[in-house]
Amino acid sequence: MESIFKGLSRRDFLKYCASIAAMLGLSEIYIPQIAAALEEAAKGKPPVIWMQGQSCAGCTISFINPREPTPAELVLDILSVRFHPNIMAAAGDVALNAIETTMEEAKGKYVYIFEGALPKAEGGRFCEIGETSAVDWVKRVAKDAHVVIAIGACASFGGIPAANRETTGASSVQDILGTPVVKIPGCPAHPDWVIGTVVKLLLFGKDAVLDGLDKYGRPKEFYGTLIHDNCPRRHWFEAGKFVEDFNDPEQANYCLLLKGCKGPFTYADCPKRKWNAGTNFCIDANAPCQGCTQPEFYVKFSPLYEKLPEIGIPGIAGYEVSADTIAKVLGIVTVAGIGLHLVGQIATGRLGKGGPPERGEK
Amino acid sequence: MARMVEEHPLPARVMHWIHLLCMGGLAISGWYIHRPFFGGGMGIMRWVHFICMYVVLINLVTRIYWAFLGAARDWHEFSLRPRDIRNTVKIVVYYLFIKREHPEVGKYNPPQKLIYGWLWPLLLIFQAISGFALYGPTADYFAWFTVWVGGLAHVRLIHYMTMWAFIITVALHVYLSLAEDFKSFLYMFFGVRPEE
Ligand code: HEM
Ligand code: HEM
Ligand code: SF4
Repeated sequence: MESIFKGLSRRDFLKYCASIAAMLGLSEIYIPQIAAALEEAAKGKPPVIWMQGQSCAGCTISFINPREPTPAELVLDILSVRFHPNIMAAAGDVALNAIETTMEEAKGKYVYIFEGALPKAEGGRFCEIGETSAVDWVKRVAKDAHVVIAIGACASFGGIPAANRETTGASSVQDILGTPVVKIPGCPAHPDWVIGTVVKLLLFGKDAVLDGLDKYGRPKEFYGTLIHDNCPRRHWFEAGKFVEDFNDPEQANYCLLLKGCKGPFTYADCPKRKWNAGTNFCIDANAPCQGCTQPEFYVKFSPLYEKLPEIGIPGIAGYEVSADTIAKVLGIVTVAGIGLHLVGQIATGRLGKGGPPERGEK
Repeated sequence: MARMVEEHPLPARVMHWIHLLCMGGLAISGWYIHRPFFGGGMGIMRWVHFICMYVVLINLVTRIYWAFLGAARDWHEFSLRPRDIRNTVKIVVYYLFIKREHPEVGKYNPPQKLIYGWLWPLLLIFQAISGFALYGPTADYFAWFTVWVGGLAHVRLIHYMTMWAFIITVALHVYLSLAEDFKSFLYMFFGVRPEE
């Protein structure tokens, strides 16, 4: 039997519903409900406007990441994506008019997905879509949206474009709107996180999605656990075995803490969910976690391969030293000072005999 | 001699011992958490850190209570007064070997007052705030601190640098109490005063 989704058998469709249930941490008894809701939603085809600011389109690429047929395709079948800079066929005015029409026709009903940061310096001229700045687009399109979803580190918190943001004033969607938005950070965002959130929205409605956000605005289903607590290398951390030299094969699988792993600060389910259709994730591929789902990413987590951030020296712009260097210098100065004073103590014969005059006898 | 015996009463000495053991435990275990210097101790070191951090805080509160409401009420020994400005000059001159005679400055000289009564308690409270922000990164109690300093990586940096502030000031403290006034050290540690 065919499902209503093109090229997908009923059996496969139910399998996807099961994977979506698993994705959202729901029990199997929800599968029929999910199937019904998706079929229902597919009839109405909820409209989506997906726009990009200062982005590398990586989140989109992650979203349409191949697995045949992809869950993303499934969702794209359910949704009616009216504007997407990378996957739509239309261009120019036709494409831009699609936004205007959707905003009019589906006022208050469309889902607004934004990918990339928003440069607000100099009137927003560092990123324009059509002839309007991305900042102005976001303000206008978000106003009548049913939900605003910021996808990726850049849209969520500023990400890489906001590192040294002086030039472009790169900001997150929330900074521009001034109201909380649903955030799906990651560099890129995992397709499951995006799909799961959209499906949850279709199944349980806007309030359920908003209620399930953590203090940074991320859905708790996906961002509720610490990487470090679920890490396959955790036993090496406990055993005190750390990679200190990437070239030493013996250390290849040790904990990456000393190579700047941000796993102890980073909330996401990568160790369980894995990437590229469940193949692997950063730490298993021998790369320290970079903390891409955290608000600190990128600038507050740099240097990526150092355990602690570096400290700027006041007065010398751009010059930064590590905490250990400062500690060493201070330590040496202290030891030298004590040594010098000790010489003085011995030379003056005061060693151990100083101190305040004996008050008791005075 | 009567005044002598009161100088560091037993409770003060006990609290100093607890303080010293905890700070030693915190610094060693903290350093290990920062950069493990031998394998396999992470569990134990974190355990030590977590025990010591509670004990040292209870001890701090007790010491402050005792300073104001205990038997000795020695808070005034630590309070800074206008004459401490003059005394600072005097004590620096003494420490730099320009004058031979130790000036009359009260129980503690101004730098000591500053470090014992102000710097260390405040640093310890600060260390506790940053420490608890690391301890419960998902809890909201100290989230304001995490947000204020710009994320957990910076909380860790601050916690680590504060350890160095402690190590350096304690090094000076230990050095001076041994090299300068050995009698006072014996008394503070063991409650003994060698008779002349
Ligand atoms: C007084 C209350 C304190 C609390 C609540 C506290 C708490 C903590 C916690 C929770 C951690 C993180 C452990 C982990 O995630 O494995 C930590 C790390 C650390 N603590 Fe403390 N601590 C306190 C005092 C101190 C003191 C007094 C020192 C030093 C004299 C110290 C030095 C350190 C260091 C060096 C680290 C490792 C930081 C790094 O990873 O670079 N702590 N502390
Ligand atoms: C081997 C280590 C240490 C030695 C030999 C030592 C020695 C002394 C001595 C002799 C005094 C008497 C005051 C004076 O004459 O200056 C004193 C007071 C004091 N010490 Fe230490 N100390 C040590 C470690 C520490 C540590 C690690 C701390 C905490 C960070 C600390 C905190 C204090 C405080 C707060 C006082 C003054 C409070 C009071 O009178 O009860 N000490 N110490
Ligand atoms: S590799 Fe990173 S996340 Fe894994 S145990 Fe080590 S520090 Fe934690």
